[in-house]
Amino acid sequence: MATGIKDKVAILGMGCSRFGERWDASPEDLMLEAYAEAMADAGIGPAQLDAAWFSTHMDDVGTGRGGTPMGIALRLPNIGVTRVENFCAGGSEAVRAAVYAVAAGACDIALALGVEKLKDTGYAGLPMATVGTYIPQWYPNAVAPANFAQLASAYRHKHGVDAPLLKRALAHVSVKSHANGAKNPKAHLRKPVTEAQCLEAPMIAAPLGLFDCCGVSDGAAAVIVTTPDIAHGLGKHDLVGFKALQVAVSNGWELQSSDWDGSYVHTTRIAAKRAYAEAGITLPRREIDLTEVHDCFSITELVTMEDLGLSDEGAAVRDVLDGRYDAEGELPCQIDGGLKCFGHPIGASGIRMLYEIYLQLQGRAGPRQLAAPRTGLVHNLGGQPSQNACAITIVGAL
Amino acid sequence: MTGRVHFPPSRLSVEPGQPLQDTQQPYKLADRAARVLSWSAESLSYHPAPPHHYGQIDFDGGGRILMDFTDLDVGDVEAGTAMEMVFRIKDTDERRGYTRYFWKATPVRVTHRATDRAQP
Repeated sequence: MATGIKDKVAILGMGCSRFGERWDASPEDLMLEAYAEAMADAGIGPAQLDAAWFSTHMDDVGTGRGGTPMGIALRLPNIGVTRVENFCAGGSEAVRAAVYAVAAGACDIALALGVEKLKDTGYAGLPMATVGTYIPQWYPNAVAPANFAQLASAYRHKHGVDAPLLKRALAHVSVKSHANGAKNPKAHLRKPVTEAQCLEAPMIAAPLGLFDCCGVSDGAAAVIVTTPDIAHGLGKHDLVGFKALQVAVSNGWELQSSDWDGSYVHTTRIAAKRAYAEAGITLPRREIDLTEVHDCFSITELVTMEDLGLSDEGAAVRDVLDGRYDAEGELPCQIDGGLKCFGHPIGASGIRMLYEIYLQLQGRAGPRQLAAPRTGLVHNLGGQPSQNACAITIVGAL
Repeated sequence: MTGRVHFPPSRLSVEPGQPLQDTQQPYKLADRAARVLSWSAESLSYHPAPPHHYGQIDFDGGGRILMDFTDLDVGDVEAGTAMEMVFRIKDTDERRGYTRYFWKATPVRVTHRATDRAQP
């Protein structure tokens, strides 16, 4: 019986670049920004790193494939560097590999870093991804906003929610994230918006308007992990440790059978159940103090609250409008602005979410600091609702 | 045999936890009644008649395809709307020089149905 990773691995240091339209920085510069902060926070030198994992999604936008782009950018001491990729959940995959290496005893100290340089494309969305030669013969030339927007139509049908009510709840999700992002000096989008602005914004993919969609950004984030004993030996206290790290990947059931109703994300429910079991959490609404979820679109955040068991099924609309997930609410979500406003450099996002929870648990989040949180959850989703990879990481005070 | 209809066909079935190998047989979906499971209409990807409208279609008796919709305006369909298949241009493959066709979903038209019933 696998014993999992609970309390076997601690965070030694973290770093995150400023996200945004970083015309001033190359991918190498962004990697260094995150790495230098993480190494200074950890208080170690490069010779103490045993291995590294590198997350980047769009290999042909600025970085290239394999582990060499990171090995060279950071002048790493010829340690193993492995590139990992799992759509938008790649950052969590890099963390998973580093955490597993430490938990297994194969490494004392490991680095995970994600980077993406998207704004050089001159295009506001994501570059076209290759899907092979067979699929385009029948599959629509689909884009991410419309793939996620479909959650809204199925959710409304299932729960009998009026279109204007759902649209207002989605606006609340974005108004909240903009308010939070405005307080974050590293965030891409730092202007608060009003509900009226969200409701009246140009339609991107019905029913999602401009403010229902996250920004894609340039940025990098890094984490250095080790064992609690080594961290203590290096003079660290008030450690943040891993309680659970679970990944669930679709096998075609959602899109290729008729069982899934299209209103939720199947893998999130599976990964959440496994993660709560690994962490020993039985009452997530009481035991989790804050979440950073994959709010690529407002509707994704709304259904994720139900998929994580934080709202009852069909009740997230009410909970969102009641302010339950606002900064002052019972269970703050995206206190750093989320993908929506901190930004979404694909390969870095999972690590950026972890960065905010780490800062919050250590009381280092500045003007957006919450009152003494002890346990946080990261939900990082790659792909689309009907076929995806979902990573859920739970961290807490050791 | 699981009784499930798969699209596209595959050697392994999606039966949760117990996929069966090489049990699938050809099964025609195009003439079956169908409904919208989920949809959106977006203004990002190229489409000759924007917005680009598509979604998941469920066929009576099983089978699901994420496919293009055609001949409709935004608001004409919702989850649950009855749809039928029409064979249309999917895209033009400029590199290889041919036009590619595939099925698209369109709302079932009342007039069309009336015509059907009028047939002896």
